[in-house]
Amino acid sequence: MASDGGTRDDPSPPAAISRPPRADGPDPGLARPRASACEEFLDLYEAHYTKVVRFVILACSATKEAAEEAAQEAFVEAWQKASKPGDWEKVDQPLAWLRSVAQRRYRRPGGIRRDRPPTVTGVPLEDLLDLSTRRPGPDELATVAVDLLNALCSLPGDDLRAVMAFTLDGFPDSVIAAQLGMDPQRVRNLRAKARRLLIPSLPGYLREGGSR
Amino acid sequence: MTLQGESTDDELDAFLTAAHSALLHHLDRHTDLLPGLVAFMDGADSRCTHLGRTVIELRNLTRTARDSLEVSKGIIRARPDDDDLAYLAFLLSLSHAFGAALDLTRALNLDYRLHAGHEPALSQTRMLKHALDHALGLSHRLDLGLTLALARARKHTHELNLGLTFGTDRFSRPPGHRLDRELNRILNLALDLNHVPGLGRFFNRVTHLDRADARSIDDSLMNAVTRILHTRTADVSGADLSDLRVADIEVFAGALWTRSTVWPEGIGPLIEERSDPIGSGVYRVRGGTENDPHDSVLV
Repeated sequence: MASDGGTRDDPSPPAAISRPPRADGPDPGLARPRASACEEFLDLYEAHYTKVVRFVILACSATKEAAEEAAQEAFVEAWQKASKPGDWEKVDQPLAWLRSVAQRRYRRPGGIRRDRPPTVTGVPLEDLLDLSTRRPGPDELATVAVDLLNALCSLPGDDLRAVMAFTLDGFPDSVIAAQLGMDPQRVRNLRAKARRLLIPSLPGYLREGGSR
Repeated sequence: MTLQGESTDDELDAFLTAAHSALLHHLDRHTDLLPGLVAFMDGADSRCTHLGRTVIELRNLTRTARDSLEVSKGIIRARPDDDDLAYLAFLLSLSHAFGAALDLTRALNLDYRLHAGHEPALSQTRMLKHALDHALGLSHRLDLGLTLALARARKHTHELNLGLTFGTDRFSRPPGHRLDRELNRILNLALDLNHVPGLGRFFNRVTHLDRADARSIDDSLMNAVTRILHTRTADVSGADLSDLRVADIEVFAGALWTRSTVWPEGIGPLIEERSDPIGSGVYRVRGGTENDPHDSVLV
């Protein structure tokens, strides 16, 4: 099974996440994220941003653009949390938390990023961005990825997709259950149901699904 | 994709793994991290700076960094409230960018003549884009009015990267005139920068001299960064520096500290030996010629 969140690609959370800035330092200035914590946070952003985007695409059947907005909002919220003494320490599973926040932001239009899009004074946003990056041709997405998106899209219910998206990112059932507010057994039941429903959607990849 | 002997569960897992990775690969290739970085820059002012600590960290970085881009990156991330430093970091980033552009031109020419792989040129486009990212961030921070031009250069560089990655056939025509056109745009950017006082001459030198000269300009800029860092007083009174890894105790030269300062392991006694009280429980670390130079290197 593919994994990102807790096992293969992300064997351990980055230092900024597992060791949040100390809130009880002798200098009030240290109650804020230190320079190194800031750097670690940016490293976290660079290492995990696209993975959170992928999660939102899979969990919410979101477009890439909408998933990016939601992921940006999640990281901005995380940054705001990390800037307040003690807040970040309360986040138990930061990588899973980022995904949950992004998912919530996607489902709640009008989040902070939609209200205040990233702009640089005097420069239209479209001039700043790699438009070719943001609008790749459909032929550039691998067939297997398209088939996965279509198959997940066909699953009935948000919980099934969310369980599969978390599972694909490698999170254990206990973490998925905590993020989705359900018990681990229900996570296992939903995953089993999702897998059963996916099989007929994937002809050519699975013998039971028919031949390609 | 199905394999003999595999169960449906195994096949499903194999499919999910492959598709999941393919989607990430696609997103890595087609996702721009800049909007998020800009959001942090807009929202991170003064949040992540304990200036004294930052000065120490940057002094240490100038001694240990592998190249000037690493120093530039350190400055942009530390975000010290010091425009001179930020401006030098901007110049370092651009110097690095044009060094990469020169190497890119060479790699492309070599590629065409020898039919070598695109990897050397690809590597240079990545370095160029990286350097332009830093320059863009600093230009924004200093409000130099260069953000749009740099963003365009960055976009062209990205297009080069995409072209080299996917469209070998699109670049087979001699001498890869599409690439040349893009490079010319980047070089023309240097001319656009002439309206910034003092930059025009700098860029004329960087863009018209060879790589060795570009490196010497890099060295001059690094020296300027080092000089500026040593004119700044590092007030680390009460700061927790326990996680710092310093290469040379001289990075603390001139630092102000108090008994509540937490030093990296093993450094405290050395600092005490080299410090003088200046009143009100504050001490100052003697620096440079005030100490035995043979006694300063820690690593």
